Amino acid sequence: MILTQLQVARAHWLLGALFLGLILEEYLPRATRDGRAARPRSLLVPWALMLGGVGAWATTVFADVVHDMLIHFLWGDILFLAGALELARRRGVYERPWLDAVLPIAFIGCGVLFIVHEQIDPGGPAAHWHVAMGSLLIAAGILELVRVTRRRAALIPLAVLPLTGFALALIAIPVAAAS
Amino acid sequence: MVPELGRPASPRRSGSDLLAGAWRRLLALSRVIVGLALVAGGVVWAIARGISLYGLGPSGFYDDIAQPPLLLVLIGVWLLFRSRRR
Repeated sequence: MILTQLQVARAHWLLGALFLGLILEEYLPRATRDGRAARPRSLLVPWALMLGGVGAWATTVFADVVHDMLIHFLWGDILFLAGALELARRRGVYERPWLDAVLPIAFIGCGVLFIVHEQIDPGGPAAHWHVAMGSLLIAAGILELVRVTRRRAALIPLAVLPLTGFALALIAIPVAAAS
Repeated sequence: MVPELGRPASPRRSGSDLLAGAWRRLLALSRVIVGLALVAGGVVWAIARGISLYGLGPSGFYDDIAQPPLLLVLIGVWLLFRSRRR
């Protein structure tokens, strides 16, 4: 079963919306009852990561190009692994200091895969989009990695800007460039 | 000497304290601000580019929702819902 390009684009838009909701939920502070801003640690975030992973795996089934299958399979692996580790931590099942680096490394890993995707198919209609989105994810991952290793408790981390840019690019990707 | 009437003087706060307080209040409102911006962006996008209607059936409903301007509005509304104080 081969999907039309419009259906492929819709899947990207939905994944972009899921990612936008996920990062805004994770990185924008919530107001407490006394009006103070507090960092949320919602269980929705790991579930959304795993849902995104399942969506990326589904692409492996419907993709008609081998490198699309491979790259989406690896994206699914990274998202699901990051979601599972975050879920374990937020439930209090598994707590280790290195878990702080899970989300930044997942962002960097996914960003590198975008660049690899572009390198495999440099003449494709989505080449520029892949480079831009991969760069945004890598920049966000590095910013977050620096923040968590320095133990800075910023209420709104700087990485939220490139992450939002990435999600908006995924939502706005043209039908012809979705692959 | 006539005693001064009226409310007791409130303790003076420095400019940096006021700025820090305003910044904290703004941070607490960040979800509302971003949510409203997303809704406004989605509405402007829908007006500028138009949206398609595919019908109210299950398949048509999915196609209706999976359009970038409507997705922006949905995320904005959800963020506004999640901005409630808890």
